[in-house]
Amino acid sequence: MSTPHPITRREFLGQASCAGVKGTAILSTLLSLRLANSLAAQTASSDYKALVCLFLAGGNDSFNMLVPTTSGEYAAYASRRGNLALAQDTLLQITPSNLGGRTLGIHPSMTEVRDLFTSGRLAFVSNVGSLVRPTTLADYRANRYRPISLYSHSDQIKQWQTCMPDQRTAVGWGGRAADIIKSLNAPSMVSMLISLSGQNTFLSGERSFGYTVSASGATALSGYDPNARNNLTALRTTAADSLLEADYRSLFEKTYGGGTAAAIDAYYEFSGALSGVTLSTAVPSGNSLANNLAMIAKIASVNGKLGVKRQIFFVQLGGWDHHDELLNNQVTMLRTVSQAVGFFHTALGEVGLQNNVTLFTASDFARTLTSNGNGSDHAWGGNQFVLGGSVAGGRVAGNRDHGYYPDFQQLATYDTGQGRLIPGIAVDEYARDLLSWFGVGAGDMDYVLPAFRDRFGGRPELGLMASVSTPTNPSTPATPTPTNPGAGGSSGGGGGGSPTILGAAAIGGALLLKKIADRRARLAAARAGAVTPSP
Amino acid sequence: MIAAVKRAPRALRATLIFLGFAVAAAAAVLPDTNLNADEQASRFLAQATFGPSPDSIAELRQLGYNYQTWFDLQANKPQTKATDILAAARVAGSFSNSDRNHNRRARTQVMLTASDQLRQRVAYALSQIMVVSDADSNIANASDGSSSWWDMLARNALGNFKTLMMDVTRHPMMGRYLSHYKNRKANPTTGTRPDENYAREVMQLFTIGLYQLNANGTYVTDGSGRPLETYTNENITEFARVFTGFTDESTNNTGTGTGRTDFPSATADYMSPMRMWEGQHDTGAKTLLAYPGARKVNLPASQPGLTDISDALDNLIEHPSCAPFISRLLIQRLVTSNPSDGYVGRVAAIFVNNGSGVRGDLFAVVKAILLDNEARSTAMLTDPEHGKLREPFLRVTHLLRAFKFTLNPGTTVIPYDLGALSETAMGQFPLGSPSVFNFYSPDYEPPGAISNARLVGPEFQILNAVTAVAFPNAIHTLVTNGTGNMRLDLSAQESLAANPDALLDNLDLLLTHGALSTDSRTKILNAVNGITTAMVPGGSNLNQQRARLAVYLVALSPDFAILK
Repeated sequence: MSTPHPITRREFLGQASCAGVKGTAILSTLLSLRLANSLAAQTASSDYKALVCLFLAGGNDSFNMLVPTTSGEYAAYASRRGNLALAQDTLLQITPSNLGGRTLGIHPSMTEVRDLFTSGRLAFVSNVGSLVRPTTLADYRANRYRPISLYSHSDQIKQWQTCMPDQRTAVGWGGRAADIIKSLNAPSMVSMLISLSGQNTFLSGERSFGYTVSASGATALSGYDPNARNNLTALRTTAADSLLEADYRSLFEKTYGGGTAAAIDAYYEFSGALSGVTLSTAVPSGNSLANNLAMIAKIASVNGKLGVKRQIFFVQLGGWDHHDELLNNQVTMLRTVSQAVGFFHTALGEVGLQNNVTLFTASDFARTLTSNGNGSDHAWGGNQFVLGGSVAGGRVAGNRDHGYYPDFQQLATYDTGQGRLIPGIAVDEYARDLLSWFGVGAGDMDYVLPAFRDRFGGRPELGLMASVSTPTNPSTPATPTPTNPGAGGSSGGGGGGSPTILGAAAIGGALLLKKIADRRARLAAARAGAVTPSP
Repeated sequence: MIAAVKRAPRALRATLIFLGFAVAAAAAVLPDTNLNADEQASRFLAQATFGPSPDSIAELRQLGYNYQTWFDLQANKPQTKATDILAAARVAGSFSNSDRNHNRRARTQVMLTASDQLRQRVAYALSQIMVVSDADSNIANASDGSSSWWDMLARNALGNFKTLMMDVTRHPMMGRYLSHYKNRKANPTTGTRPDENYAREVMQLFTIGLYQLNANGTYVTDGSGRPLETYTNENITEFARVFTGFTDESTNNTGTGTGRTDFPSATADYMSPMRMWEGQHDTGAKTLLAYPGARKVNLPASQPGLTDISDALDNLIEHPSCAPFISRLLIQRLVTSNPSDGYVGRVAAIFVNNGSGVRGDLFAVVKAILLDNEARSTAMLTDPEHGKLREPFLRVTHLLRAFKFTLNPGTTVIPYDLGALSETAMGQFPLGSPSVFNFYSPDYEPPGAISNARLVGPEFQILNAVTAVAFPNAIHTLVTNGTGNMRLDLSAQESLAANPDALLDNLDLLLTHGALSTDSRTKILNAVNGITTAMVPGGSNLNQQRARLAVYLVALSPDFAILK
């Protein structure tokens, strides 16, 4: 870890993640910091792994991304989709290795995706979505196990990112994974959770928060320099630091000040690590997603400088809510996706990380199979893909009882109407395969995916990853309990984020704590009535 | 203390930090609560307008700080229209086809300079509830359409909610954005059915929300404490049938013979309310939402299309959830992120009945919001859960209105270009939301202290490590050089700067409304007093540097960022 300036007070605090933690807590934090350092030293650099969540916001009509082409199945598809059906002879034909000879067609815009599938680097996941439990049509009609506000964008997006579709929570499974695994990383102001698309639920853990960069990286605060002496910049720097770091009573002032201070500091470490990094792989022009993925490839390539063994990235491409002009928009937007992920895989090859980085897609939901005239409406289960050198490619993962990819001649048993399909597999199952590869051990899975074991634990792995390494036990001192947020303590590591906004304990003042407790109780009664006990 | 820590040997730091925190925890920073009448007026104007200015504070002073009178004066001011600015520029030959930038600059001019500030400020709040976005090319490429949408919101901002919702539903930009423009009735031959987009969002976002609410905005729950949903997907399907038949023309003026059912071809109209083409309106009977006291649950067959629309909106607006749902959202936009149940309840009661038996009187609702004790009491300043993160765009308008600004001479085409204060730096731009879900969710819980207290802070959703740095940098550019066509005129502040205390008093009045904490004031004064003549760059002077540094630091401070 190299920083272009002397260590500042805030950086030290960030490294120890101990802002507001007092007395013995500071000691235990420093101890766990040393523990993390020693673990980092023991782990070979080839052990680096990263997950990249590519979120297609708005609800990709993914039964036009992956289409059945076996004769009876295509006819059923064409009949159901009406004027939204893609012509069979335009589709990019594939024969997945696990469908017993059934064929599928990839959207004609996605040649890179087809090539990656054929070369065994990409697998599809079919009819996956948010499920409270394995759900039948009878369950649905009896209003059993329905995710909260099914078919609504905001709720389905959140549920994809939390895997808690019957609860209102803002803690995502990427963030939870970081809570567990960040002690593998060296201490850093730069979180192991990096978003190219701003704040999101996926990267919000109980004690790990995302760090946002843009496609061009991070920016320094103007007119600010910790090394400045006896000039305007020195005066500005000292005042800015002290204004942002003061112990404000207002929770809002505290959150703004702490978050801003953390962002100012993280720049130095981030830009130091990224300095001089370039890719020779050509970025497809006019492709904002590819620009973001290029930055991800660069960040992954300096994992050694950043001192990280694990990172989780989030990048979003919006505009998929195609109630209107579905066909035309998918031609360009799926091309954007295909070219971007094709570029990404090549770029990872350039930096030697194809086997270390796995990209997976997610989206609010798929869309009604029937047409509303010129588009389709909100539905439920849909198709996704997973890309990387460690992926068991050339396959379509899914519900075995449904033949992995749904047979359009037999949809009646899981169509809730208008081609809104009950997912054959849950996002939890999708996440389980990815997280197992990432290194979340079976014992920690209950924390990262709290609903998985009870609800889907009996189901087989999807087999998305070719080689699931033995999970590296990060020796977490204790698995944090998801129901007890903000207790104050924190393991070291680059979970990072906003170290100055760790918890209520930092505010001080018994009166305030009582006020917050009272408010919590009231809100718990009024609002969190929705929150059912953890399964 | 801070400086000492920075320069101390590494081994010493942990101890110093520990001591530093022990001291800090014992003396948490609190806002000043001793506000004079001008400062209270400034705080009021920060909530009710695009920011106080010396003139607008003086106006309230001349009114004897009678806010009621101010409301009446505001309501009677003629509406300033963005479309008028575009039309004038077109007449002046500035352009023949307006683009997105022209529209944005015209609206920025309105927000910064219009005298009907209350109306425009409420329109901005509404634009974040009933969202149309020029991020959608259908909107961006619709000539003056987006500004026509803005003017429609402003026209209704102090009017009646039902009229607003009719105009929202019929506006061609909303028709484009949520795709009920040319939404066809079901066609059994082709198997198509009505588009559900508008039907869903008009319920979820514009009127009643997902969950049944009590009159004070708390959830209605079932026996096991779960909130009850307000509607089912079957309801959405029924409402989708209501919102069919809208297009540009209501008469078959192009003529393709009798029996024609599909929409007539007509020139796209981006400004006028969409017309009903009965041939594509679903004329069957429809079942809407049933709730205690509900009217118009069953719409009879063969009603005129616009009657169906009007009845369906009544069915939603009279739903018990509508008043608390809209009241909470407006309070969040104008005053505070976490209003008490009592505050929501008081405002919602006015929404239901303005005192004269009228539902949805938005002028009465806005007055109730801004005059409520929870908005006005200075005791709220020290409530750690009160207030909101000032939106970056509003931080910009507050700065520009607090000080005088000049426009770069020589720019003729609607010169209100904010330059570095860009959508990227702010994380938002009016009418530029990434989706119909606005720039942030009203229920966003920023991780950390706010989330741990189970509170929300919507605006924090666009505060991230990119905007947290890019935005202050843009402010820095504005203060030091100006940006785009905007030049800040700090001559008044420079003339005070010989006396730094007077300078801070002025900034406290204009930007932090008298509530600047003693702690922050001291830090800023220390910086200002630390400037020596040797530090002043050529071409500048001591007072100018003092004013600029003070303005920048107040703008960066949590004291200003949080509107309390």
